[in-house]
Amino acid sequence: MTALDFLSVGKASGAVAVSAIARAQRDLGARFEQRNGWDVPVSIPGEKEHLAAVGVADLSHLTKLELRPAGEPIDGEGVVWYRISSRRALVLCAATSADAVREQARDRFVLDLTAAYSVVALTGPEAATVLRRMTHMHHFPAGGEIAHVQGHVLERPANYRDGYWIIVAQEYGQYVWEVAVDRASALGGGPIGVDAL
Amino acid sequence: MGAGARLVSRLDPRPHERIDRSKPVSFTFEGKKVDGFEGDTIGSALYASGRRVFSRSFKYHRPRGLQCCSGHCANCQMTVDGIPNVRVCTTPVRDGAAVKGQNYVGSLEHDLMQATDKLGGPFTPPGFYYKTFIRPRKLWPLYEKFLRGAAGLGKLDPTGARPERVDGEYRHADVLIVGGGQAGLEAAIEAASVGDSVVVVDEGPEVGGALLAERDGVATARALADQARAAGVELLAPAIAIGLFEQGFVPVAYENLLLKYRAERVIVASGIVEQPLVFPGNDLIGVMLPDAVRRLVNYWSIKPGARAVILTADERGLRAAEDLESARVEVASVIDLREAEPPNIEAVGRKGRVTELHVNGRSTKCDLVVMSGSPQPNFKLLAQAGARVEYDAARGIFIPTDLPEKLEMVGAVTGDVGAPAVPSPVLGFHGDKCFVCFCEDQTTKDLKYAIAEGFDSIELSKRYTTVTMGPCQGRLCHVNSIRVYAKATKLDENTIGTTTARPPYTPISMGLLAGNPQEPKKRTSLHHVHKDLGGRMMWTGQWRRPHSYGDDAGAEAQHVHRSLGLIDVSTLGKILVKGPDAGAFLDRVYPNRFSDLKVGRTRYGVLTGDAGRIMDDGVVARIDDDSFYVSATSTGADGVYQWFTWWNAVWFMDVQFANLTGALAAINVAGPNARSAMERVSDADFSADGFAYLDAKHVIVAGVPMLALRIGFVGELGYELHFPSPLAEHVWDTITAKASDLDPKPFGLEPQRILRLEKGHVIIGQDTDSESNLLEASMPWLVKNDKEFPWVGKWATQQVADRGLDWMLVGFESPTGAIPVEGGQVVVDGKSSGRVTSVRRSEELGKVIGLAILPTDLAVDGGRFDVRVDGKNVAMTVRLGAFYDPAGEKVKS
Amino acid sequence: MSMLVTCPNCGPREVQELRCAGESTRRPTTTPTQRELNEYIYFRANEAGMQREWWFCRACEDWFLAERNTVTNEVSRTWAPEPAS
Repeated sequence: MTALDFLSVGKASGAVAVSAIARAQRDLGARFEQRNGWDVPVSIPGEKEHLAAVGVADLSHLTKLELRPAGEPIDGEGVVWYRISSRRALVLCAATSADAVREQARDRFVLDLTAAYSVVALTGPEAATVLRRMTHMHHFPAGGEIAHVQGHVLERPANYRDGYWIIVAQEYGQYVWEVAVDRASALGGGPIGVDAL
Repeated sequence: MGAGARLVSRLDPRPHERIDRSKPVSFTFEGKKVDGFEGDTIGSALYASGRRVFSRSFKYHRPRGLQCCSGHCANCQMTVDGIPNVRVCTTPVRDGAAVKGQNYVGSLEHDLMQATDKLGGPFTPPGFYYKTFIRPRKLWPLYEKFLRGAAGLGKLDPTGARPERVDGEYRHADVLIVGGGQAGLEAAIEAASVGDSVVVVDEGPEVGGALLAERDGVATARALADQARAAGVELLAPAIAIGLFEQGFVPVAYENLLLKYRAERVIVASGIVEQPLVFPGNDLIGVMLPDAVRRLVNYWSIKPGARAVILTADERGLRAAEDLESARVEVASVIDLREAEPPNIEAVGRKGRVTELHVNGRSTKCDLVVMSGSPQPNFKLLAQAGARVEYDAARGIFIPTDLPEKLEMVGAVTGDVGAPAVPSPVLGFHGDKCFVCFCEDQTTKDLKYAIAEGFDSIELSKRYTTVTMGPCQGRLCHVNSIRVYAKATKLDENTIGTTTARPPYTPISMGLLAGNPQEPKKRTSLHHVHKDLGGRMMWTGQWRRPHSYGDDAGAEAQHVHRSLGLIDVSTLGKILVKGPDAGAFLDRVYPNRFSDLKVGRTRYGVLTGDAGRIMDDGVVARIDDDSFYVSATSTGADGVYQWFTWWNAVWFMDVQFANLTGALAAINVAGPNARSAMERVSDADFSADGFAYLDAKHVIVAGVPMLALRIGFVGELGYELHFPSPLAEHVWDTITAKASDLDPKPFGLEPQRILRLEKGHVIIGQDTDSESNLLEASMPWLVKNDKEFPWVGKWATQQVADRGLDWMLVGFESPTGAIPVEGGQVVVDGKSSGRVTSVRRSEELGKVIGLAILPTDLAVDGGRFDVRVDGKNVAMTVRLGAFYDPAGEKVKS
Repeated sequence: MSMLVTCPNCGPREVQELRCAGESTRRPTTTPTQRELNEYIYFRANEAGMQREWWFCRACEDWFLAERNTVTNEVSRTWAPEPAS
């Protein structure tokens, strides 16, 4: 066991990880499936109608690795590399791609921050409107204030439907998701499962 | 159109009219159906239906009607679908809207409050209410009830319910243009032609500005608007630019949205505001500004009246006369103020409506008086943004100049207002009811009264009389009030100056500014577990935490002493400090030494600034040679992270920092059964020797790798488990299930506070304040001055030692059992000499204990001091050291 | 305040996303006298004009230095700190 294993969700066995937004989605009747050690909200009632306007999905189960220094971009199937500053970059990927990312980034210090962030995805024709009602940020990717808390917003991440990913500290996850769902509902949208993305 | 339609004032169809007669729209006014057409505003439809009384004035409840039809004046403010103070002259009709008048008792036509005009009028000079209702003092509650009922415009839902959803939205544009008249639209088209993103906001019902008052002007406006749209310009109307702020920040009220624009360039094309003339009866219904009647005729095809008199200082009145004639309104008389000395003028009316105009004693019957006091550049927004406003005496206008960065102006607002005209402000300077400020019901008499009372600067007078402070925000009264001042004080306009312009440009609802409530809330990953267990949640900073899980926090604390308690301490700040210089760095920022801390051990640390004041505290664990895991207080995490990174932005040591606060959940498992509990869920060695007090160990618990710290904040054997947040429910559930026979129970923040107080442990921010230093907070053992580098706070702490200690933070008991309040005063010789910082009743000890800041000479074990409790001095006894388990046998067991 | 300040990493940011930590100071390198210490801790030049300040960007979590006119709020320059040579 290394000194920083206690940061990694993936090092646990016999335990199922849940997102900070899981309970709120369960209360709405979401269906969950276990995937790579996470209880993932795959579908949620009303998601078809919501998608016609704007869908709000919870992608918190993605693996998030912080690379120090930021270094060269990391690529790979479904891998998103986001440069915060020259000192730091954030990589989001499926748990199954994590080892390949670590291999590419072996010249850098890799900090597993999977547990640190919630990821709220917005998709659909009104996704940009919902985003504008949460943040002043308009060039992406960017970090800044969203729903009055600090976060990062990525646009059109690889291999997913058009839209945005909002990355915030997991302790704000449910709050930011609630704000997004509130703004979405005013436009006919609402929560969706990750399989709808 | 329904059979009940009464479009008494509508003209036959005219070319280029705004309304679409094939599309009827209806709404209700005071419950009665009103018909109009698409293209009408609520105001135009009401006027077409024959309605002339639109509002009651603020103070005298005088009936008022349409005056400007351009969204400037406050005469047409009504309540629309529950939203008060809507200017209906610019609000497009919508089917089914419920419109009501406001500021009356009875009905808009017969307002019982109008007595204030007849009776109160002459007796309510400026300051009347302050001067009158101050005595007798005991009658104030009665006065207040009456005055509050009479005050204000419109009614809000007392339950706080919002009539409609509002949202805030951020937008960006290369160019934002305020004002969609000809100049604004042309500027927009030009900007768009070079590829800039352009948005035009206009307070009117549509873009067009002054064109909308011109005959066939609607067609010109439409053509320009189409051209702009084709060029990619976004046109928003009615949309109000509330103010102009730094670097192109412009909030815009648009429908139920507050659009927060950030633009590279802001171009103000706000045009002009027509000015009223000041003469007796100038507020009567039917006395209107030229563009008001011209809009009624040319824009909405409405006949404004039957017989008109024109009273004008410029060409505008003459143009209005032409348009009135085209609408078959009889123009009985045109008085051009440029041709003659200001005559003696008075408008006379019945039931608030003008019926005749007296000019030098000669009377003309009329139901319409067009008054044109010449236009003024609509400079309010520019002035508010920081532009200077200069008076051009030759032309009688105020011109904005010295515009701030990123701000430009085009069109009439620049001073390009046509032929100069400087009317006498007061054609009835000595008369009665010459209104200067219509919104606030202020007349020339009131202004002269204020000057006579000594309010002889325009800014003071503004505050005293409230002239320019009404809903029109001075647009119709600012210039006239300056002119009245000039005439009364014999000073010139530039000397008098203008009053400070402030946002909002037009009053908007507080709800629009508030937007949708979004109060950031931090939840731990055990939040829903606490709720399931009946946790009573409370705020600590932005965190939601369980205060306790029932009514008896004392029993919850006792359970920790007796058996097994679990508390969620995930809110603790958690910072990884990593790198070859990590230990040396910590040696610099902490008073004590960390470079010699052994891997697998923890040490308590307190942070001070260079002023020696205590900032935060926490436990530091060394988890490998170059990695330290630092905990901070729940509300101190961000501050400590910024503190560390700032020092290293100065020192450039080889160390880096990661804020892991949210990434990791933390559960403290405490009580005599804690070891047994851990042994049920882990194969690791939790024995007293294998896992000693203050050890930090990497262990696997319930299948989850975690960092376990053996610390004793609550005074019993305990393990603080740190592990990934998404696994928190799994870990909590596994421990409580596997150790169910050990009677595990959750405990909240309040029992934790009792338990730590029994140990005499300090809470930063509760027992310390911004003046506390290490020595007077009784932590001298932390100070290690033998370190090579002068640690942050060293010099100031040394100064405290040199001057001697004035105060000490010490424990005390209450022998009588009396419980002082936290913050209660320590009294020595009748003087306040310190305070109680914490106090609780301890079930375990069977007494009331606390911490207090005392003068040093009293801070000796067994010393007695008095604390003020319920107005009496009550004796307390100093107790140094922990109240509970002073030898620490429990935590080390 | 609605000004924009340029973070060396993130570009122009809304001011509320940044924290101004006040004018930059120089910590004594040797044990200060009481007067020197008090000047360092408490005394500020409080320029009405350009002053050098510390700012923290909450987005990238880095500190930077700025020259700001305290009268007009104009920020003429921002830069990342460099080790003292």
